[in-house]
Amino acid sequence: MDRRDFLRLSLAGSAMWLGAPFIGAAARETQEPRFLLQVVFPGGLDWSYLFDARPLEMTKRGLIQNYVNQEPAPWGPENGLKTWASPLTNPIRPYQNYFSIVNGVMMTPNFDGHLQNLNYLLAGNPFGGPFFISGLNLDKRPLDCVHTGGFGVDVPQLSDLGGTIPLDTKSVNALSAAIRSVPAIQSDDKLVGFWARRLSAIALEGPGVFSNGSRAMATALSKAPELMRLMKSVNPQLATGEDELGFLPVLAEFFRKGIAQTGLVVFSKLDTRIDVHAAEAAVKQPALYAEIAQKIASVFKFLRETPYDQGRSILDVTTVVITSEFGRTLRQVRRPIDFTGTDHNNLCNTVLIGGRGIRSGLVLGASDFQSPDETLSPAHLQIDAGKMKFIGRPFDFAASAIKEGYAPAAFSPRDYIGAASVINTVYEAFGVDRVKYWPVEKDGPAAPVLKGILKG
Amino acid sequence: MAHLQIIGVLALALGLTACTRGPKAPFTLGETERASIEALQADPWAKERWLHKTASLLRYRQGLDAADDVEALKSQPPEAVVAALMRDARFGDATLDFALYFLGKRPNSLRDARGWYREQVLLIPQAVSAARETLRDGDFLQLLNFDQPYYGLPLRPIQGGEPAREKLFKDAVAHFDRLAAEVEAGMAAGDKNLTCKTAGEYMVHPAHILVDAGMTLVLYDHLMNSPEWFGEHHLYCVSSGTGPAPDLVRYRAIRPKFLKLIDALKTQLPANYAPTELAKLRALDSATMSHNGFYNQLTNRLWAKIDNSTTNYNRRRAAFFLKRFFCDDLTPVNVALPSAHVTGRHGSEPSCMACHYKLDPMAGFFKDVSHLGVFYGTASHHHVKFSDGPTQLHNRYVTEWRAPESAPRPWLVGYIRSMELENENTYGEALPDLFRIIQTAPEVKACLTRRVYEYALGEGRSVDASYLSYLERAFSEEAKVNSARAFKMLLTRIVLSGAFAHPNPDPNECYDYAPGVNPQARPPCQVAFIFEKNCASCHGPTAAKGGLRLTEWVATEGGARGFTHKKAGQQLPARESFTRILNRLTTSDPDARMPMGQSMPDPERVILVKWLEEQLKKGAP
Amino acid sequence: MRTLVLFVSLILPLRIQAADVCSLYRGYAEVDQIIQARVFNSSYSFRIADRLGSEELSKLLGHYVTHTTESQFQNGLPNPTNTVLWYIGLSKLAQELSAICAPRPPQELVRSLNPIFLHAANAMCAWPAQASKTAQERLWLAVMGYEAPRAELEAWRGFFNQGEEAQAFERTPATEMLAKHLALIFLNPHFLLRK
Repeated sequence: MDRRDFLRLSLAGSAMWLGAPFIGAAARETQEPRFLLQVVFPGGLDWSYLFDARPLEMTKRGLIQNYVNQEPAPWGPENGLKTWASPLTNPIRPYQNYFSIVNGVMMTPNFDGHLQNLNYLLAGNPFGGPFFISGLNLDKRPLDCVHTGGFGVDVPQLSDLGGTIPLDTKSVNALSAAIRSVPAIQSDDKLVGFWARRLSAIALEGPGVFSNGSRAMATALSKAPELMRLMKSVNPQLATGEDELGFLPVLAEFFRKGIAQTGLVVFSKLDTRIDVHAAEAAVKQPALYAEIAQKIASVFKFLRETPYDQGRSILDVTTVVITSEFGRTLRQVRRPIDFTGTDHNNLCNTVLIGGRGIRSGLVLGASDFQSPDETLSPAHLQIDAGKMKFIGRPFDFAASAIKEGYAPAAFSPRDYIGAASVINTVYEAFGVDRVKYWPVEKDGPAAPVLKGILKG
Repeated sequence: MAHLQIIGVLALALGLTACTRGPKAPFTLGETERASIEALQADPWAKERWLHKTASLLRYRQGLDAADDVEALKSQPPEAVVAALMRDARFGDATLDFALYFLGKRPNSLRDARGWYREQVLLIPQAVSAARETLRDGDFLQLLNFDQPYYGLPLRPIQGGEPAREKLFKDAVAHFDRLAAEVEAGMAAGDKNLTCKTAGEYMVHPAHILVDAGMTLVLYDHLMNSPEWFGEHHLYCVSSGTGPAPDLVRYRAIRPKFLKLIDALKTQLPANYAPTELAKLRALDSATMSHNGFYNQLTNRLWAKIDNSTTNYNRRRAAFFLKRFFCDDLTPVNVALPSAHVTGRHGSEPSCMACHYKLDPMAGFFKDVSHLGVFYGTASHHHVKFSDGPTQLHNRYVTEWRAPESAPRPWLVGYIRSMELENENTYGEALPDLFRIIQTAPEVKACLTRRVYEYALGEGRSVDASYLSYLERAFSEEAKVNSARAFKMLLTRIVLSGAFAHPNPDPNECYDYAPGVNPQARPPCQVAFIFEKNCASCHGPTAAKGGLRLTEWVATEGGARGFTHKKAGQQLPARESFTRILNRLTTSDPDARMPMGQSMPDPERVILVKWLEEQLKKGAP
Repeated sequence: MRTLVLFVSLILPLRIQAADVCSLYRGYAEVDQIIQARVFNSSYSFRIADRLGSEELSKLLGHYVTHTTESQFQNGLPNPTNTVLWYIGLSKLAQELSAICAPRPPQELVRSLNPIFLHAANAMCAWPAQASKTAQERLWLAVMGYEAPRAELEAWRGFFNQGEEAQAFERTPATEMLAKHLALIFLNPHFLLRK
């Protein structure tokens, strides 16, 4: 610890109780409101029941399972790329101009496990790491991120979740009640001032583990008065029901009040219903996907209809990303097409992205194998010789368009839209320093941003 | 995450023990501990803090209390204090908590408000046995023995009290006999319909009555998953329907076991059994259990949640065993792909092979065990059921691990240390072989040592490899004499370490070294640690390929310190040596990139590169 | 505004990075057990969850969860929520315990306390008399034990006896002072963080 650090810490310790109540206000004064909501359906969604459907002809030819038995319909702008959407997406149609669809998104090409892909989705590494939200330029709000729903069967290995608080409807009410049950931490309270000074003093004692802990406590304590003050103003009646959707009003209130800037909503209770392989379970999927479509519609409806302030909705100020850890295969090997389940497809996923900073109503990217007679590229056959998976179509990032007629001879993840590009697009929307951008491959260059869906 | 956690291959495997010394005699303290003891004796407040910290650790969070004569403890030498604390029954809880930590299953607390051990604790019998044995200076290494009894909670109180319970026991036997007679009649007549009609009830109803009598659901599940009680009938009547008719002789052997189970349950009546003391915990007679002990571990207990799905093919179980027992976190990184491996079986990419070469053969140990832990047997008509729903014929499933005909063994199953040198590996076939390997492999003892260190000091800190090696060597030697005493000595050495006594240790500093090791003659702790772990097998005390010993830190020409690095018998200047090492760490040429043919986690490579660059920037001559 | 900007820039370097190895909160179960052992006797079962009014909230203080294969300690990294929750739970406890200095201390409370703690805390009821000042160290040791260095005890004692508020404290009732003494022990990182 050098002298400069020492001075910073000492001053921080003494200034803490003067400045703390104003931190949130300062952030709000200097920046336009911007929030992030990430919604995850864990288990591996079969996007062919949603926004990456295939004509029934492919089912008749034994290529892809389809228990809906209705032709999909085109989805997309009049003068732009379209995708095929299953009739199950009809409840989402009224909200189609609130978000864009990114199809053909590659997850980690080397692993097809839930955990590795969930790690990749949230940390950019199949073996886990810092949560990508920690890379955002966050305002100094009391909570960095509120996470509701827990995780499903696989819990991603995320570090640096210090500012992420797991809450559900029950505990947010309890938290609100607990905070109301004691006098607030006051910035001019001498006792609290002493507490803060001791934390700073111990933090200064060295580079030790315990000093680091004390420093983390000091930082947390500096935000505590603001958290208590703001939480007292949250209406505890907002949280309704046990479902993750019921938590959205709380999240909106947290955004409005300046308590948190990002939210992670995981529909974890659906995990074991989404992640089914056996045919017996797969035949029941249409009902499940109708339910999922309804939930997606509800998310957008809520965000659109809920005001942030007098002139703006929550959706106007919030970037929304909805996805799963990966998609699913077309069918299973050695099973009849009218009685087959699906397996994991880490090579193709779909991301719905909308809200603040995002151009809505578009379709960006596409998966291959759209018709029974399509000739798959040598690159596709290299990594999926059995033709069991979709993969993305090669993408021209500069032109924001599919590279028509380009069939790479060998597989390279750089030819495709990857999860890293999606995250970097969010980072771009948040003005994150480019050195933090995720690479396409380990030690490689940063994944290109999807400029085509960014506003401005 | 932790520097400590990423030591995939421990000092022993690297031959580091050759450069360190254990204690001069078993069960004695060495100069390392003596130095700590002197420091503690010289500072009364530090000793008081140490005393309290040690008591908290050895008494499972409880520390000193009113019953302790603190002044008397303070006047004793630290090693005597440790010995006294270990004689306390509460040390059993500390051992139990450590054992659970080692096995990766840690509850928030060991006991409930009544002081009873929680069921989730009792369901991990290795941990309970290890703690019980430690208290009586027995065999702490029961921790590695999977053939264990079941320690249960008292039977649940029921309405009507003990008379009602006694009646239910009688009803269960009567019901059993009535149904068994019907099944037997069906079997004797070769009437499958009759056999199967009653078999369903026969399997379930008597067990239900035992649950009504207060038996835990854990035991109920156990009965339902047992092959004798349920398995053969299930195959014959329900599952594939293609199993052979159950054998009458084996069938009749179930009854005495059932009666024995009831007798065992009666030893756990609430009036005479309160599981508050380790020594008084009662185990059910393992003869009453339908499986042998190994498979009991895989049914309702410790490993129940380690599923086998069609996407993990037992690899999740394998990863768990590698991590918990071998301290191998399977961090995959740059690794050379040898030509003579099972390319294409599970993973053929080099980055995948870095893990799969050991992960897949380890997964093979579980090939005959269902996702619920039930032993399939080897009959071809058995189906493997996966936790994600699908089934597959067992005999087809196991081909994943069948070796080519030219191979010297029928299965590609084992604990794999080297891709190239088969004689370094330990092969096996089925789960009991894995359990035997766990009990004998030196890596497991080394892992245990490391976990004790982490348990006492926390994860995520650097530790000098020579010191860990010293602890491990002492523990292994002493365990040959008495493993409980060896465990106690290991803990004693650790609580008498400099790192434990330090109030605010820097995670990147080393505070302890093996006897005879001079810290001044080593590069920074973290750097030395990484070099020793990844490089010392070729550039260490026993080998100096290219004239380089990364375990020796010497003064070079011009005064700068560097590694022993000789060309044509002449020590290279530090700058040139550092430059050469840096180049070999950063080159993308697979024939030159170090460590050759071995994996090295990227974060560790980055630390080495940064450090070498700093040395060069400093202007080493 | 300048003060504010200065403050924000001062706080920034305090953020704990992912790579830092950092002491975590001990978690609700361990702190429950420590308080049980040092403050109460076996006739009473202490649970911080009761002070928070919620089992779920106590998990935000740090707890082990077992997912699929093994246990992980979660929510232990200090953050504003768990820090506020420790403050709520432990300041309530300090307040409850201070009732032993009330003119008619609740007998149920007195009976539930362990003798070492009760003895030290009772002596504090003489505040501001000298007897209470000499009992401060006993109170500290009864609750904190020797987990903190002596300097920490001295700083705590100095705050009450020599700090800028010392004169005001002299006029503060013993009940309130006991609560303050206890709260500052409970909230000390040496009490709450793992070593």
